[in-house]
Amino acid sequence: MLRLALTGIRQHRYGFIGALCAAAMAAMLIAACGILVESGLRSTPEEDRFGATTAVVRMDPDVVIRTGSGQNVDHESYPLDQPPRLTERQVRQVREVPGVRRVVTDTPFYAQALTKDGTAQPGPDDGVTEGHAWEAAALTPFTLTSGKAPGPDEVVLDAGTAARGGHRVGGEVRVVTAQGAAAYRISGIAAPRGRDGLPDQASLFFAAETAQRLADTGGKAAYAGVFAGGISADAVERRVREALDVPHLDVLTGDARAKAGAPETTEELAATTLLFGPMAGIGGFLAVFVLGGTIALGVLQRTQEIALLRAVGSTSWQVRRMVAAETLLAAAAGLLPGFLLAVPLSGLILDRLREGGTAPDAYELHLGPLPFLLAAAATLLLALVAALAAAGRISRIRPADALREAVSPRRPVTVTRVLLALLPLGGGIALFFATQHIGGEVGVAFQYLIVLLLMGAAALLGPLLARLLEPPLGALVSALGGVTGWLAHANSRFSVRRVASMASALMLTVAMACTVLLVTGSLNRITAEQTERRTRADLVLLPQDSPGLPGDVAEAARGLDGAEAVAATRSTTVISDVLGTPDVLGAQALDPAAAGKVMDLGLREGSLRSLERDGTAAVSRTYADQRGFEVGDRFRGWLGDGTKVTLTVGAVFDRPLGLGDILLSESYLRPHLHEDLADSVLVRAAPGQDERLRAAAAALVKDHPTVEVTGVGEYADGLRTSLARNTTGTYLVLSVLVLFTAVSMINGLLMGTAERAKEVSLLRLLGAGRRHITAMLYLETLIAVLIGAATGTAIAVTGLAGANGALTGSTDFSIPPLGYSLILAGVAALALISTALPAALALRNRPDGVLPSV
Amino acid sequence: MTLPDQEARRSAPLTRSALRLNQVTRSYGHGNGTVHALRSVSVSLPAGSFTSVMGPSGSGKSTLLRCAAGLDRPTSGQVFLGDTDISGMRERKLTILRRERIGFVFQSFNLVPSLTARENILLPFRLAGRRPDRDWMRDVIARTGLTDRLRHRPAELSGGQQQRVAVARALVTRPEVIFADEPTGALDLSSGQEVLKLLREVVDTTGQTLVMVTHDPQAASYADQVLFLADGTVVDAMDRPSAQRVSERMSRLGS
Repeated sequence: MLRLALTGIRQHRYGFIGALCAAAMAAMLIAACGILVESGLRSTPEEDRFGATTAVVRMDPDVVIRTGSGQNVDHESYPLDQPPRLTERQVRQVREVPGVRRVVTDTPFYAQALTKDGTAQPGPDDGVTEGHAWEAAALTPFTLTSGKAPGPDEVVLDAGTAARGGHRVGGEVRVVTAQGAAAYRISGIAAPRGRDGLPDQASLFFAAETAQRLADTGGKAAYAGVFAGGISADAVERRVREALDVPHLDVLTGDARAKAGAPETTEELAATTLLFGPMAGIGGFLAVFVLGGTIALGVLQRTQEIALLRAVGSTSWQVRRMVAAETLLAAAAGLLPGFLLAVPLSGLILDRLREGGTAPDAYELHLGPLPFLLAAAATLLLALVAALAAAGRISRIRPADALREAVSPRRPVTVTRVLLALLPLGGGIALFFATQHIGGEVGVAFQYLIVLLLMGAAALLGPLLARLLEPPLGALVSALGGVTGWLAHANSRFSVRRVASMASALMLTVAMACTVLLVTGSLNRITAEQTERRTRADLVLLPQDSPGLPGDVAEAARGLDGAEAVAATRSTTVISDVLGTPDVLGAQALDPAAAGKVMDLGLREGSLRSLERDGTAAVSRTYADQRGFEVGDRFRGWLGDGTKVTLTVGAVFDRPLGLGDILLSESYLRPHLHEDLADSVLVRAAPGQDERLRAAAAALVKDHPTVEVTGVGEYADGLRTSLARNTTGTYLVLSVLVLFTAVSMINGLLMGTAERAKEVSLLRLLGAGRRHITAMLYLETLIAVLIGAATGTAIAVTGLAGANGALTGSTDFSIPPLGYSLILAGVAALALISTALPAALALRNRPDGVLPSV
Repeated sequence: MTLPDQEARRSAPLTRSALRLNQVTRSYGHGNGTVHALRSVSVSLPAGSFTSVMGPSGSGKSTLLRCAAGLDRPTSGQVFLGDTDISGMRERKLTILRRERIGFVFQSFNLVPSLTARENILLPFRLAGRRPDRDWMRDVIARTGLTDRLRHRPAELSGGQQQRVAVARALVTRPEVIFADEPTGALDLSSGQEVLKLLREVVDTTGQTLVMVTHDPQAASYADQVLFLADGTVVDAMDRPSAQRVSERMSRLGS
């Protein structure tokens, strides 16, 4: 059987090379994703801020919640917006652990130095900029390169920050903290050994009392660095746990300790690593399609040969084994080139992500054997699955087919296929209506699943869709394309399966591209529109190059000439049930009285004043609908710092986008927020006082250098719902799709070309010029593009309408003409470029190809 | 029915040649390995004649057909279609020439599988961007007996029907010469005879010039004249052939 397979390969180079390419592609993608995941997991922040310590003790930054009931009890972790801190007593207990020589606490707070010319200076690589007590310098350790330790009203800068800001020892620097801007004398400059500062973060050190005041910690500590005297890190961990006996305590050593020292970098690392899992999954999913399609076309092309084998007595099972053996050989041969490409590909992706700022510089390539082993196993398995799927077709080839000149096209879709397609189709439709009922951002998130289900159904029904859509779209091409259009139309109508396999690949790309790009754009637009309708301010103060606005900015705004009302917004989170299980919801801390004057929240029930009672919340209509809330209802939740509370519904409002599903009073949340930093300050002018207010605000920037004065429009455009935030992942997935579509198209077309050599020769003999043939092939591709674009658009529009319906209650949608045309143009270009090679090969068929050779 | 230009062709049948090969040589390869497929062949076929080309395998039949139809370029010598020397023509001009002045019928794969019989017949016109002559087309379709088969695709037609579609397509553009390459090779006896009768009738009633390559003496006997090829040269010619005389001649050629 193997020998037969090998001979078969020699006979059907196109089919074999097609399968090989598809397998190589799958191996490359899966291996590349594997490499990137492994690298992400093995990467640690470059420089360990807690490098000098034996271990670091902190409270678990996640809240652990018991979910389910009875037998299905489970514990789930949810990240907290304001990680809890160690109490003074707990720190004392750590100090008393035997074998602990010294404990240094650290509570980083927002502190941003201004440059010599007065502009706010962001951290290196747009990282954070943080203040610490000078004692915490010992954790790294930072040592003074010049000057001395800070006294009151003095600061030590890390060498990098000093250099970038043009600061020298003895000079003066203005520093913005949550308490506002103040001037400090630079008493010294410090650096870790061998470098200027920490990567991705700027460090400012203050005297202990100053740090205490600026951080406003109430005696609590974020981290306690432990220096052990002669006992190992493991022993420290064991003894600290025994001594403190607190359920959610982290005692970190090694890499975990390094990661705790750079939480932002660690978060970026984890988030970036998470991108590649789905990418590998989608790659695998598509690989089955491409491999399956390639093999199926190969079988179709060899109908006569297989029928002949059947006629001379091979069982259909033997023929299947032959096809499976050929496919596995092709897949195995594809592994090596795939792997060789995987390494540079993963490097390339990583470089792009690092340049774009998605991945931190600490994300480095680590090569191990595991990704390759997994990729090899997955690729061979996928090839086998694809071969078995195609084998179904073999049993339908009858020995009598060997005797026929041209095999008439079979029914394009089998009953099994239709039944299989009904599952995702039905699921998708049911889910669509369910999400209209659920609503909110959860409803939006489900649209991606709906789109995936519909894509699966459309791929299964591809031949049927092609048969339905070819007549009108082909007629269009025929009407516009003259004789070649007419031929293309006839050929497409005749070879539905070939057209369907191209159209399916294009459908996947169009549907995916439209969904991710249009839905994201649409969400952003709806968010911006709703924010504009909600915000009744004339001016908006926003932080510039800094994480938030100090508390004194709102105060200063209140004193502005011409200001009538001022309210600050401060985002945080509340964890509460979504569809039966806890989830993190966006929340906002507001001054209810002031907020009522600058925002029109679209109140349905209750009043904003009710928020003045502690523990009373305004909830969005979508969230209230989902939970069935009315004013006065109570529900459990966890605040940003993990405090478990019972909240009362005081109001239901209509316009949550860009704000959050839950609004609470600022005074109630104050003790649960570490620092007093506002996201924005909304200012409303007294009637007719617009100009004066604007002028006064421009002057305010002098005293508050991190403030940017903008209008509502800019503010609204800058807001993003959490769903629309991450576009890097979608672009990655899209590029994978594009790659597969191209391979799938070229594969299909090449095999089609081989199959149609005689047809091309005949046309040439009858007087078709080279241009006729080329135009015919391109127009056939165009018909497939039109079919794919029509189905893909229909699917994406379903998702788009569903997303809009879930958010706003109305499924009205609009397609941005520019974005949409760009997607279509891109897909058409991809398809037409993919046609170039097959078209060039088709022209090698000389006009006398139909005649017997000499 | 007879049209004026055919009238002209018939009234002066032997004064004007439709196809003329002048000292055509075609060799492949170089040096010692050179294969001479045609050696200095000169033939002149009068308009309105039906000529069979016969010869054993490797005698140069196919090469003769290719060179005569402009599908292959002679190594030396000229090919005239009417008064046009086609032996030096470029690809583009040859394409147009094939479309307008030459018709083809082959053993198999004559038809584009995705097109109906009618569409296949009309294909040369569509490629040329010209309108067919409606009356002539109706006449050709009636002649070939395809009136009720026009909407069928090749896969739905029998072999004989497919060949008749091919003949109709070759006829419909009124080419100067139709080349037929073993047109009955893939057909059973009775379908084959039907097609040959059709070809004969076409030549007789329309004055069409026809060149047919075959190895079947029975088929060759339908022609006005048979040319015998051996080893790249025309070794003999026979007018008003009969199947028996042709096979006797062929057996002497050692086929």
